[in-house]
Amino acid sequence: MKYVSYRTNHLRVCRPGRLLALSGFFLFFFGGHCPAACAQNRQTVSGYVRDLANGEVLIGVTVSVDHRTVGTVTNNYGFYSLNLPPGTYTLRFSFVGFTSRELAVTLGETPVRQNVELSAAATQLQEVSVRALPDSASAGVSALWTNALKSQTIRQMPALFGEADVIRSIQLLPGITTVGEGASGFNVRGGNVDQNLILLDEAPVYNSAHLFGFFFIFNPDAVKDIRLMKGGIPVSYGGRISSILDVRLKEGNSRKQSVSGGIGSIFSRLTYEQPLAGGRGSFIVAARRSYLDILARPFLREELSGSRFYFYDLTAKANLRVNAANTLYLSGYLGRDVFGAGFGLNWGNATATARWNRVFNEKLFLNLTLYKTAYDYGFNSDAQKQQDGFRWQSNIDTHSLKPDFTYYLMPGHTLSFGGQYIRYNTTPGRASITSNQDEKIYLLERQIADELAFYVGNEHVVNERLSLSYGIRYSLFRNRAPGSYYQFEPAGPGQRRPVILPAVQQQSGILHQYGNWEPRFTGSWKLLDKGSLKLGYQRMVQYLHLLSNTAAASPVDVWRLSSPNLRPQRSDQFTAGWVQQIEPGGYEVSLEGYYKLLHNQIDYVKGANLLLNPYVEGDLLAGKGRAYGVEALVRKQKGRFTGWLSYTLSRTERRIAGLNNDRWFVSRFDRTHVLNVVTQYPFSKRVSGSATFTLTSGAPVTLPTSRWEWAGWALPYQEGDRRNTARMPPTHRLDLSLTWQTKKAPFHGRGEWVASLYNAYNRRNAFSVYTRQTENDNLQTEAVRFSVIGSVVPALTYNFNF
Amino acid sequence: MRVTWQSSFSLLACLSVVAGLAGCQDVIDLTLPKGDKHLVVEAWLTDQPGPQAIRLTESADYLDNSPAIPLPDAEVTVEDDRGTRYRFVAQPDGWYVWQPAAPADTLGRIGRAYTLRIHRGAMYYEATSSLRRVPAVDSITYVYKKAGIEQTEGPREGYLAQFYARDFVGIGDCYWIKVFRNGRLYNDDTGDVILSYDGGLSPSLAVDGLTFAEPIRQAINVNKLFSPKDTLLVELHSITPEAYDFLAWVRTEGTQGGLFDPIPTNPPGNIRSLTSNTPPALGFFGTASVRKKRIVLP
Repeated sequence: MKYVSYRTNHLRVCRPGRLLALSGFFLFFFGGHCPAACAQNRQTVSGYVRDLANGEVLIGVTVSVDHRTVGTVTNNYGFYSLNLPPGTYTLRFSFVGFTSRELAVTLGETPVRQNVELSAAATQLQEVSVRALPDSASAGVSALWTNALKSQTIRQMPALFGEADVIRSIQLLPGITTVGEGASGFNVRGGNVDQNLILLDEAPVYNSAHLFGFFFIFNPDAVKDIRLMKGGIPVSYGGRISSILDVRLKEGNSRKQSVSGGIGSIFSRLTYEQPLAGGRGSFIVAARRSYLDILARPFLREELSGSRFYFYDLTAKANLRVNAANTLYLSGYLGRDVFGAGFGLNWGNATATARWNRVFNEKLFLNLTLYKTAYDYGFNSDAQKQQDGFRWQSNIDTHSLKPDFTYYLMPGHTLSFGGQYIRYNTTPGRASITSNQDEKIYLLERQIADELAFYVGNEHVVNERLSLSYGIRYSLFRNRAPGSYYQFEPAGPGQRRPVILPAVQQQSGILHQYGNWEPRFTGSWKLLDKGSLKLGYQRMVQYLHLLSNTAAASPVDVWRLSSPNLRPQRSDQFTAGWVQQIEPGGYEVSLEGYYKLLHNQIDYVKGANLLLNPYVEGDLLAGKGRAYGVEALVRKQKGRFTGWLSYTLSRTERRIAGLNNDRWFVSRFDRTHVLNVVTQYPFSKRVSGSATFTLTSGAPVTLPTSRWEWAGWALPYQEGDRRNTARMPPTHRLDLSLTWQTKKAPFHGRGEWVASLYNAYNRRNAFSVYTRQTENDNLQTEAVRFSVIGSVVPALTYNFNF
Repeated sequence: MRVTWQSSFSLLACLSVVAGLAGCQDVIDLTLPKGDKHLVVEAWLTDQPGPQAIRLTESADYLDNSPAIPLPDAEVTVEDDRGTRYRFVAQPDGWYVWQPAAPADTLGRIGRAYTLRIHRGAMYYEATSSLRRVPAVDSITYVYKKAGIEQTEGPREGYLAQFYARDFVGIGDCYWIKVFRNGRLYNDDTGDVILSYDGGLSPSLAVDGLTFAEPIRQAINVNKLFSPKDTLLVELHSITPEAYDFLAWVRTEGTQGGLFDPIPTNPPGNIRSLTSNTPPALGFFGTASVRKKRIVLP
């Protein structure tokens, strides 16, 4: 495969004039060709679309006009706006899982504000699980690129230990892989786990895993909507180069008090929702805690009685509709994992988000977000003793202000523009070693940086067949003083670069900066009545890197900011696809190919020391990556039997000078074939079943060819020094679940039992295959398969709400 | 995997223990590609009186569990930086032995540098190492206690021992600590290799000139308590930073495969081939000065 080389585009200096000129160009180009007169001849209808049952705003509702394809779609805050010539129209509001509603609207001299409430469809079970295509082309081109999952769907899918989990559900979508069962995070189209921006109500989280990767950190009871974008990413998003996972929390029931919860084998969950200010607002509080430690306590041996192992998360959100034009939201998340027995290890994320939605007029909508997010972990060798010990902490804090404007310029043109300011403050490591009462403190210097981004984009419905979305984002990253950085001597390929001391110190100003333009384009062309061609190009840049050279990402991996020695990661992705609807049976088929180039991908010298190493940048290598593949998705959304089938054929490779003899090698999460089948079927009104099947090519692995004896050990050596040349056996797994709604439930509410069987036919899928000396003889060698889940895992969960 | 303090300074071992609770390991049949035959050099010379030995063997296919093939047909010499040459005489089992003229003579002297030369057939190999200073093992203390979570094996009650030594002032003093219980080296697992950098846990956490850090002092217990009447011998070897890197590789990559293990790499060695088109030699040539302390537990 020939490698297409790309010129790097690092602008060392941001020139605001150029940016302004560009914005002006955009406004001119998209706004300029509309004569002033045409605006006068038109009037606007706008409003919010909400769920009738609980007042939650609905994201992505299709609004069509007079059964034509002209229309729009509600934004992330449930707001829509349509600009039409005066007259009487029938607006149709349709959304999967909800009964469509039609309303007649007469537009005359004044703008019309029309809020709409939709009621859930009679049978919840027919809810569509994956939405890859909106109900009509009017939704604009962005929706074509988004995979959305609903909390209800995730709850019904069979889950490990019966705990519904967002990440595990996402892994059933095409193009998503993981380094192994139970590993934290996920890999999108050949990207590392740190290349996914996981947003919780706009605030990023840095570690998405409880219990080292078994569970996603968000409580599915508090989650309203999950959208995964791997291509066609709007210009309003930036900061990671592979995907955006946008998680929106429920706002809370604004109609009535409600309590829901569940008892499972790992967690117990409780959620409380209540209206505020006479229905003009609401709040929700959801909590989860693992309770394995409490159950296990009586059975622990004496020496283990001091051990602690638990994890919890708390999610809260409140909203208040101050008046028709202003809505305020507050949301927060706090989660922590604690493990200890003699030693103690804990980690957790916290986020706080305040948002203000302002409808300036029928055409201009603002979402202003202010957030703070923090991730930290700590380690303590022995909590009891003071005179000896080893303590270690690391954290990353982010503050951000983010205005996002949506301007419904005129029919067919929805402009989005805005920006973001992020301030990073990280302490990569602070450790203290106390030895016989002598204490020594190691402090990896605090890093301060900021990231400034501006964007402007247009969703352009050219005609009933052609929709375009285009825009550009400019991001500027600056390492701020006071601070310092090291310079390194050059070294051979793949070799550790020796540090040049002392460090370069600076008390004020900017230490270093990177600027990048990020153009994005997507288009969809409806060539057939039920079939569309879509094309896309996107560039993404990322200034924050997770240093991890282990098989699976771990909670003590260090997040590090770009610096003079650590250039921003960048991706260029080209996509082309076809989406076809097949009316009989309600099938939808989509086929998508992608080619992604990755720049400045991080790898590590041999024997790299990533923890508490002030000169860690000398241990880092940079290289290229490429990922390409074809993803097919067939889904059935109508009828009793629903579900989807996805197949991905892909390759992801890296080329790092000094590794693998400077040749391309497949990365750890490369999977040639991935097949996922997800089905849901209602047996009766109260009983429904779900099954998922997954079949994946084995992961690449580096295995030795030879052994050699030294000091009584048989040690490994690999001829040729090649990386990831062998493959583990393929993995496959069938999971089953049965949901049974009870006739009676506490407080006249609803109750359901979910029984699940994870790994139903008891396969031991390999997480890794490796070699070692045998237990009893260091001169005997053997090959070993390690399975994280080595047996059938049955589970029973009870959920209730009232 | 075990939670021994030394090996788990990387923490990741701790994580693996917790994460591995649910996992399971099966020995499997695996067909691995075949490698070439390489010369393997095992050389660890010390300043202790008496004979010194170097072993030459041949590498084998990884899963071939027959004993390594000895290579007794080479010429092996060691020369120090003052021009003294030491001749090593081949034995049939692949060991090459230097015999001192008098029983108390030593080969290694602190402060000198040594060059190993191997000539086998048409191939020449060379390696150098310096013999560095080493502090005395001051004392070994012990307490009688019940086994805790770190003691995954051994008696449920016994002695937890620690040794005391003080690192020299100055960066770059590296140590390999060997522990013998009743005359037998603690060496169940490559993960049990005990290393210290300037008395601390790793180069990046370099303490300097202090008493060895507690995790190092207690690492001699590995994962079990000592029993009454046990004889405990602690050997402190001074090693070069290159030897530290090599032994750190042995410790982390001798056994691999957990969730939080690094991607496998080939060993860092110091045996250079002087002839072109020669397959690289594996192994390591190390020199160490050794100080010991022996106690008998009550």
